[in-house]
Amino acid sequence: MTLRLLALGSAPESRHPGPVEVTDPLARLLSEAASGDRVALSRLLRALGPQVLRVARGVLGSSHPEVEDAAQESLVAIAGAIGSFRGECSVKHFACRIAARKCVAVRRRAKARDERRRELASIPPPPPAAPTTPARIRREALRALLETLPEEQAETLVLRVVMGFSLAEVAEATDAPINTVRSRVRLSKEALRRRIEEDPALAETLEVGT
Amino acid sequence: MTRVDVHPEDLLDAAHRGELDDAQRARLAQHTAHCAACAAEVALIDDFDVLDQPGDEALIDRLVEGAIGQAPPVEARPTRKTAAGAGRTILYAVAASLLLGAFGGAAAAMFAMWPARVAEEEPAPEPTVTLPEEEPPPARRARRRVVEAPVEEEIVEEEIVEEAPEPEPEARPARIPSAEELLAAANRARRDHRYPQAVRLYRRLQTAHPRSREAALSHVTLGRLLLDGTHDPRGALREFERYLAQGRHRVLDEEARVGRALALMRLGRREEERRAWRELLAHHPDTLHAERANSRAQ
Repeated sequence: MTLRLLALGSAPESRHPGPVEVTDPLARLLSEAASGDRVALSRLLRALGPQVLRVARGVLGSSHPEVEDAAQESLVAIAGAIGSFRGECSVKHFACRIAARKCVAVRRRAKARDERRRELASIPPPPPAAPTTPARIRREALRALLETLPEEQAETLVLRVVMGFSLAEVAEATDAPINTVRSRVRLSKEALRRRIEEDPALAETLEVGT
Repeated sequence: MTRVDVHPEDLLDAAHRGELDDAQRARLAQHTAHCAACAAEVALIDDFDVLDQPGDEALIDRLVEGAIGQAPPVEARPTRKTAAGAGRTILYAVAASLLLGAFGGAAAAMFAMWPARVAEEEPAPEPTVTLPEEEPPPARRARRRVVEAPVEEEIVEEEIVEEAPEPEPEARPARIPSAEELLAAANRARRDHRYPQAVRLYRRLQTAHPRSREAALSHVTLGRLLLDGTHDPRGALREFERYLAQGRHRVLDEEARVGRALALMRLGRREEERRAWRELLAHHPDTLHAERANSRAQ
């Protein structure tokens, strides 16, 4: 099975490269899995596991109690969605998009549950953990932001920042026009900028001039 | 802080791929020196670069194993009267009309109706096991659905999805749901946050199929549900201990040990909790929970 993947243009300013035909090694497995082959499904999910785990850890944090649940729920969602794969992006990108959406949902659900529990028990929210490294401060800031952004913006931010997708790859994975992706990135970065302005510790990690 | 609203995403893409020339690098540096959001993006892409951990392979195996158990069967394309089916019906009707002259109207009419009725009845419904513990789903629900077409266009069509299985005929003897079916139903209830129902289904699985692999694994899943979903650390502790009592070197040993330690923590049994974390570290030195285990074991 061949898939349309992006050939990244050599000129960085040109971000609308033409598609090229390349073979996605996972596409055949996906096709077999979609026809009901459970062994192929198992092999496919194992191959996608590292990406899914990366998304889960990126969105929730490695020590979050639900990180494994989120990864497993993502794998279940991917298994359920293989019938809808149309080969317009790589299988890994398709899987990352599903995982991004699922993991953001798990993070929001966990936060809501935690708040509800605290409300019921009249427990004040815990003081923010002492920052350790600049990278940790930035990662936690981004994760907190994901809880508040609209779903599409959060999904775009995860793919772009956590998984390092280019704009074109985000556009393919989310099946959205590239200008829509640009707009989502811009809006999510505006929210990020506001958060940085409100948090001097976070701003300090960026060494940005004022 | 200076506001910069236009972000050079293309330069950021190229920077991430290491494809910037000197002029572009200078332009990007000039921008990120004053744009907090882009500076954060550049830094964050590096921050998130290392998310893999040792032992991931075994963890992924476990996650996939669990996911395969919960994964719905691949959805078959909806069967409905197709063009070919309609064609067959027309063919039968034509045959019937040809027969009309030879055998008379009544016989021909019956012949014409027969295949049409068969077409309406197809496909025969799959035998479905109804789990009495499951909440009755809505009888019929219309939903819009995108059906993949063989050509490159999408056909969006209204489709009635039969949510509720047809009731079993009374004459058919009731079948005890298999361990796999009970586990799937329990997992579904858990994912839908129907926690009391999920707890009942896991317990039913453990009672109905005590020797099954599903029942063995369910102790850990139920333990986590009781711990985080229904806030019953005592019940959770019991489940984790049951799992661990089944033998050594089982697939979810690490999860069970983590769960046991967390349950003891929530019960305030500090000394037992310390021992539980130490036991976790002794059995699983590469555990993802090492940081917390080390801190709580002190």
